[in-house]
Amino acid sequence: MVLLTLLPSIFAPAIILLLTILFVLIDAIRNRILFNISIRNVIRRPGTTALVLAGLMVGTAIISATLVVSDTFDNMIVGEITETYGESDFFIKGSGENNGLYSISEVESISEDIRGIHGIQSADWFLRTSSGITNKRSELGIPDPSIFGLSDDAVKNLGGFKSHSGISIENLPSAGHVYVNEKLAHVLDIEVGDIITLNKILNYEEVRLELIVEAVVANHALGGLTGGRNIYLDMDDAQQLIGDQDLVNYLAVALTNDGRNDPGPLRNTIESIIESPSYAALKLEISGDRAQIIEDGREGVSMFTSLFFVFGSFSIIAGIVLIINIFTMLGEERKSEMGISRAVGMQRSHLRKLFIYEGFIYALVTAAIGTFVGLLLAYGLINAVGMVMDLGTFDISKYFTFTTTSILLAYLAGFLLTIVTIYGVTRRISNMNIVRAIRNIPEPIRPRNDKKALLLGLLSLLFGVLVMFVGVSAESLGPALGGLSIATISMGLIIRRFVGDRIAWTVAGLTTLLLWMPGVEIFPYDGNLEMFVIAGVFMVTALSMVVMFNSDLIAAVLTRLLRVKNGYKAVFKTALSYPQRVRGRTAMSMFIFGLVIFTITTLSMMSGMLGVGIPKMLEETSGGFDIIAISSAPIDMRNEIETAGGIIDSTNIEDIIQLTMGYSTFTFSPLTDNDEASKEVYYNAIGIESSLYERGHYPLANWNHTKYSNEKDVWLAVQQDPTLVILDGSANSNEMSGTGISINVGPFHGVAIGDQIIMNNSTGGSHALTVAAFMEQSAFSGAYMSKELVKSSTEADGSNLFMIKLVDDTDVEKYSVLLQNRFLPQQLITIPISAIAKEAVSQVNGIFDLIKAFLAMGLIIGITGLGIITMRSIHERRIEIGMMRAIGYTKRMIVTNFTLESSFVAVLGVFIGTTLGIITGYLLWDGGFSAMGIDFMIAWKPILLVDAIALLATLVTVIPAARGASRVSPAEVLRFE
Amino acid sequence: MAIIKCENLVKVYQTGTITVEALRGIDLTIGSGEMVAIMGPSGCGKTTLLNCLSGIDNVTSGKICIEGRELTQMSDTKKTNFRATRMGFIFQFYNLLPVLTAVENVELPLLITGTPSGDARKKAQSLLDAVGLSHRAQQRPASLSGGERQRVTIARALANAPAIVWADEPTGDLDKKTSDEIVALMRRLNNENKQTFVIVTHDPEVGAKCDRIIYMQDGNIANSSDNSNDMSSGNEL
Ligand SMILES: Nc1ncnc2c1ncn2[C@@H]1O[C@H](COP(=O)(O)OP(=O)(O)OP(=O)(O)O)[C@@H](O)[C@H]1O
Ligand SMILES: [Mg+2]
Repeated sequence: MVLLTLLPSIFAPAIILLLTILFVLIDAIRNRILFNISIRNVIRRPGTTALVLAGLMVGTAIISATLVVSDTFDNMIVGEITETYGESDFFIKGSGENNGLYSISEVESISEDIRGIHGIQSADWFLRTSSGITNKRSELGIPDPSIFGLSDDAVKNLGGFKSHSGISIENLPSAGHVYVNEKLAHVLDIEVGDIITLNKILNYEEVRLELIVEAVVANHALGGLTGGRNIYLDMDDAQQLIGDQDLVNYLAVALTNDGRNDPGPLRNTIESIIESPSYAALKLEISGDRAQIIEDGREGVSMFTSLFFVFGSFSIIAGIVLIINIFTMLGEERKSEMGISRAVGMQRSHLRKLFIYEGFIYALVTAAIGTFVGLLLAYGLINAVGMVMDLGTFDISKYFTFTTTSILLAYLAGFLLTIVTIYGVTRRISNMNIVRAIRNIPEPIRPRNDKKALLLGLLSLLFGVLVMFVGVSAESLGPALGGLSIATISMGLIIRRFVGDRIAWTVAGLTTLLLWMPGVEIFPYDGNLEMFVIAGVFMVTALSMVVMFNSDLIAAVLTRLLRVKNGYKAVFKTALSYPQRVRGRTAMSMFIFGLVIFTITTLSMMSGMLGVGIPKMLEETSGGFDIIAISSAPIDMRNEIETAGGIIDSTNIEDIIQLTMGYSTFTFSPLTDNDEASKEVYYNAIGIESSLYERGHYPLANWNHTKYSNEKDVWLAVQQDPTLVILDGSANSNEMSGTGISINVGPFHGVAIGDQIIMNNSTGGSHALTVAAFMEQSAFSGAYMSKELVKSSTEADGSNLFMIKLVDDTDVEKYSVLLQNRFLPQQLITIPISAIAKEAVSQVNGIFDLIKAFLAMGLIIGITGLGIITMRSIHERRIEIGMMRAIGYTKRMIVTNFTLESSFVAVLGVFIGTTLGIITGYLLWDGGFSAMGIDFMIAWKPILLVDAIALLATLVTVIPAARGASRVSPAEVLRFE
Repeated sequence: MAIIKCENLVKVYQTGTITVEALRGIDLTIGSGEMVAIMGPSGCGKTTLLNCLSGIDNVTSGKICIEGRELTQMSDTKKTNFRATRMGFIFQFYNLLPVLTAVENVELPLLITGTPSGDARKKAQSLLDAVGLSHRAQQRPASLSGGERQRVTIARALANAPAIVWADEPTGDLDKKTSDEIVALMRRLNNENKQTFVIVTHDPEVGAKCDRIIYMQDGNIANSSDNSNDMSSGNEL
């Protein structure tokens, strides 16, 4: 399927690839001698070739890894959804009548109508409810399993069950028996034959059912419904839990194979039936749509994949730069060889062909290796994801897969990437001057009044402006700001004519940098994720330019600062002047380092801030309490624990705050949303007691200061006066400008202090409330009001929301489980705040670490590149080294010289990346995190750690080469030529 | 007074199975302030001798004393430091670092021996002045002519006021006129500073301008002719 839809998209590149190969091959046959020389060049030095291949494959590997990861996620989404939907395509439920419960006799006709539609296979009503469950044998329990009461037809129509051992089960468990799915069995340690107890409070009475487990079914088809921890039993048995025979609440619809090919129209038909006048009063709606969910899931996956692409693209760019570097060096190395070939009559085009053939061979091989390495990388990554994220029993690695399309696509992209880059470099090399090439004289620096440079400058300026206008007209930030940046960078080429290189590039670089700085908002458009790449590339380019053309100053300052003594002054001079002379190489290495370190630093900034911010946000939500608990039936928890603690030791509990939470609709007229006259909001109504604000820490963000002298007064007033309400912080938050990110903008957005909102009673009446204050926290959303009001206006009629503070050093997680078990019939669900915070932080860090690991590939490229450059430049400069040794450089001075030379580039790159990464971290904070209540901070430790690792790795690769240089014998190298 | 003294100097090159006896027991004494030419057919061992005497190559056996210190007993670092402070070098090609300007090239030996940067720059300028190149100080080697480059090299060789200057075919790559200028320059500096010059050359005219010519043949010294009495007549032989 996927292959079929993607086929056209790989068709074009595939044809291009084939044509390229064909073209080059035909050409090669016609120039057999050249082709032979090229092959010999490739195999002449296996060491170099291996290095070149390794460098060239990186880009392909990243592309391939990203595609395979995306394949795997797609497979997972479809797989998981197939599992949680079984054979059903739509679920229908309603909010009408008795809280969505309908008498089967009343709704039978709907299912019959739907079954009558062409393309529909089946439509069956069932009951889904919940209760506490304990396994008698293991004494384990949970408050919230999903319980499905089914009919025989439903079991057959919805795909049935599969037993543990793989045998299909097509019928219901016998009366008094249940099936449980593996997920539930795993948690409660259930075996076939165990007795389970279901209990819940129903109209103040405890209902208790003891049932025998007949089978443990696989999490597949019906067994996987909703993806939760499930129990399946006969509808009649299940109905005991709701205290009423004959009630159902879900309709599962399955399509025929034909229907599944085009579910859209069928959905419409179903909707028209349930919305038809005869059934409209039931308020039924489609609550689950398999096709829709798959589509949504794919969208989510594509976001995740694009995240990888975005971060991967940094490494891909680094890879391209490395290819350029490698081939430029190969070219330079063979310069005199080529010069002589030219002198004896080879055409420029012949030389170019030599390189193209060579590049062609490299590209063919490299793309294959890269694709394969990417596959391995993706496999590693997928397994890492599984380990990093706590997905419970869910095992993502079993979904690992790849499509032929992806592999082909990766190969194509890698091949084209390599060959195009090589072609570009080759053009430059073959344009060399013969004499200079033979005598190995460096190409002259472009003179100021170079016409070509000026023309190039003007052209790229024009191009930049053009791109900018495209961006402006599309109101898209990327092209607009990117285009402007191209334009400002091009300025360097133009003004160097008048003011010289240093000033020109410094000005152009700083101007470009300024465009991206915090607080500078040139275009009021929204950007998205790819902005990050664009910003990174331009910022790093700009700063690299500035640093490059002022590196002599930096070197001078460095020499001064480091108080270089004795002979090492000479070493500093020679070491730091070389990178300044071979600007191309230096700039590229610096760029790679800068870009990769930039990304990693930015990620460290993000994870650092989130790592501190998430616990802080949770802390705000918890108000200093350890556990938040919600029950289905009211509990007088304080008393029950005091008087009959059972498994709970009351001495471990410091405080229990008991609140009443119900749901209600509110109507209000927002101030700002003038397009809506009034808004209806379905929201939590939370009844407070004084201990909430006396012992808990829930600061207010905003209140009427003239009316109340302090926060306590506000709370007290609200507690006592049923016409006042406090809203959580989401009502108060501001939309962030320019970023397009809106976080925590609650449904009450637009309401102001002193405004009135109308609360609609469950009985039909309504009640006006004045907004007295906004809270700081917004995670625990609700309208906070007097307890009596909640009890009188909603279904809630006792304490069902609890804030629990434990004595210090109590095991919070263990206690939350104990509490759950103690109040199982009331279905108490506990949330251990600190544990959740810890888990959330570790997951966030895990994801960031994963992306960083992906990025480390880029770093490896940078370091490899620098290593290659060092080795090559040592080889090129053997005679120079001999001369330096002759005039008094000791071996140690030579080692220092070359180490310094390479690490200077690395240090500058690292500096550029770190600085810009921190700035970007600030930008991200300014544009999003700050509104989430997260403080700005710089995670120095991980940032400096990565910097240190990068520099250390550079030293490790460079020092051996430098030591090799120190062993150059001056007598040997100075003798010849 | 002898500044360079070697006894029974032997240098054997071993490449694979082939052994080349480049120096076969050379005894040689050069006096302080002398300007000596070493001449002889290609492959006779001139460069090898120079490299051994200056310590950039190791000898197989024999003894070398420079300024009374036994070079053959020194560690590599000691030798290097000795070279840095007491010797200057001029080669036929590849004398200068292409990435440095003329004046930076000249000041390099000064920096190696720990001269403060300011002083080093001043000294380098005056040295360039002495070789008549002060106007080229800020240029890089690539934009200098061969003769100019060689003059920069001479300036560099003299930077640390060395006792000995070694020159291996310093005029090999130059035309006659430039070559004459360079030799005249060396002669003048030798007269002014009383530094010892050892010059390997193929050019009889260069040899004629020296105090003494040492002829080599097959790794041995063939004979030594003294020009010092008759400086004006170049080609006595
Ligand atoms: N590294 C080496 N390995 C083997 N043999 C060498 C090596 N260096 C020099 N030789 C040999 O030693 C001998 C002396 O070489 P040397 O370079 O000293 O000669 P030269 O007199 O300087 O010659 P020219 O006038 O051509 O420069 C030659 O036969 C040469 O082939
Ligand atoms: Mg020689």
